[in-house]
Amino acid sequence: MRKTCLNSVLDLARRDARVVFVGSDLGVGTLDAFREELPDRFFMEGVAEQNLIGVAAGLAMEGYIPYVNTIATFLTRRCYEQVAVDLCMHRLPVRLIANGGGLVYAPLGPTHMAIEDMGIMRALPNMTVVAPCDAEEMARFMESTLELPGPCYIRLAKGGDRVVSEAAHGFEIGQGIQLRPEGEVALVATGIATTRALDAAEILTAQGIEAGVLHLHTVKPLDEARLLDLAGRARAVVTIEEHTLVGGLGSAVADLLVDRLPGTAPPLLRLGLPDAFPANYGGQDDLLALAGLTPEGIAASVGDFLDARRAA
Amino acid sequence: MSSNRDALLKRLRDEAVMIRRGLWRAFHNGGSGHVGGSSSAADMLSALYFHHLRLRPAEPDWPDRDRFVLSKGHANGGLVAALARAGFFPEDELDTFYGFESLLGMHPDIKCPGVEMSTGGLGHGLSIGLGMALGARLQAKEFRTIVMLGDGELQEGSNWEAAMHAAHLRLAELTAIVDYNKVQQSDHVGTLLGLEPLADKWRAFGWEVREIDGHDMEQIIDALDALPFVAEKPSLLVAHTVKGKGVGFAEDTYTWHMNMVTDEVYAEALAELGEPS
Repeated sequence: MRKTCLNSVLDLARRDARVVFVGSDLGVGTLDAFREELPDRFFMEGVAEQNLIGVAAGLAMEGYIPYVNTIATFLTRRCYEQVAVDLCMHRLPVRLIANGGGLVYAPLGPTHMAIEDMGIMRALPNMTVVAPCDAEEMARFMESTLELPGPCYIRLAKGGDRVVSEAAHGFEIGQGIQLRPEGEVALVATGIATTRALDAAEILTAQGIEAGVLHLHTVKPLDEARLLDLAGRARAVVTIEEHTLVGGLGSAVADLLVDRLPGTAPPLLRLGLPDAFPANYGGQDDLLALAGLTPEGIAASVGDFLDARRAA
Repeated sequence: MSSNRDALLKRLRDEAVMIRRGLWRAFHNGGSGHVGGSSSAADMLSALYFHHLRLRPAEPDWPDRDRFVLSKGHANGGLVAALARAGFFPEDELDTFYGFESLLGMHPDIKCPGVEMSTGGLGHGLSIGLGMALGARLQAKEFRTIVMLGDGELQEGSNWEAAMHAAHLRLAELTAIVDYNKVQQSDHVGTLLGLEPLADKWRAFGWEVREIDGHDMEQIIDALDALPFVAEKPSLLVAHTVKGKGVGFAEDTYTWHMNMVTDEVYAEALAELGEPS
């Protein structure tokens, strides 16, 4: 997904002289082709994220579209005020390409795991937050980044993630994609959690529970119309994300249902990471399993939730 | 030649008086303001807006204009007084300071004609100016970028990231001015968290540095006229100034970093500032 994303930046740069790449101490091999082909618009800088965001803002003020790339935690936590003031307040078209969204960097420990990135980015006015589910969707998304007026946070997954999106779905920022037809339960997911949601839906179907899957590649702006439409018919809505339950997709959906369907919203189950810094290493899959975010774990949580509703 | 220079100096000194009168006017209408850091910058703002910067007040977004970023955004009273004098908007707008629908708040707002960037949180402007200067280089444009920094502001580490970066890029298109008035919000800078040796720090970071008296108009314009100080290095001007300069009771004291401006205080300030001769 990362390779696809960065190759897309080069493609966009070939077509549009406004595109510049700004990286922060990224390893050899990252965009060598960009450096060779368009050296004037390729900046590989040091580890100084506050400065990089400010520089990107200055370049954007001069008409450029900077694509800034580094590790997600450093692109969000380290320079939050610069992102808020320099980018969001001025509504500048800077693209933040965040490596290792969620638990990708499990072996590196909690300093490198972006468990609240979508929440803190979503909290900023004018910010767009996107988490594609696979490399092919990433490629389709990148096409739409040239003309997006404000800043955009792009959450990258590990890479080599199973492809579940289809070209026929297209890509429009802010528009959810119904990847599995609606059932009695509406599973709603973002990023690679969508793949797990699809697998969980298979398990649920085998258990006699029809579950649809709505993929929200865009967490902000939220596809409110589709969610409200869906919520009007579903017995339950379940959000699934590789993110803490503080401020992410589940929070966004909860806000929407509470605000817009007072008293009539279907029951909502939010699945995600606990409000805690990960205390284990291992791999992304291990930590997801610990949080119950395997297909089996998701299916079991949904089954238990529905049972409890029936009993109530 | 000499009489031209004398006329220029007189005009710039007169405008500096008007900028100081304007910032007191704005703060009086708002009820309070950052008198100290606005007043210390006033002579340099005069030289910038009435001599150095290439601008078109009737066309604020003129693409080839020089860029000026007030990174020490709390000195907005001084900036907007200069912008009003330069014709970016009517001087009467100063009477709306902090008003609900005003263009003018405590910190620079990009919705105000002539303001290049909204600032307020410290330590943002130098990186932004660096990006603008880089934009000029990439587009082979002639415009120059000047960023004004506060001394207390330099306690923010982001400035030093930008200082390193600009020198690494040999960005002679970029100039920074430090309004070194030695006083910050709650104390003297040297007492709270000293900056010395300030000029040597910037030299060590790879900048070409000059030091001037930031209230001596001849020194100010000579330094600005000499920009860039050398090719292939960013330029830094350390301007030694007096916080609250121009009104005795407000000078060199943190109590006038930000303070209330009552009718009595305002009258006293105007009397001391006087009118241009």
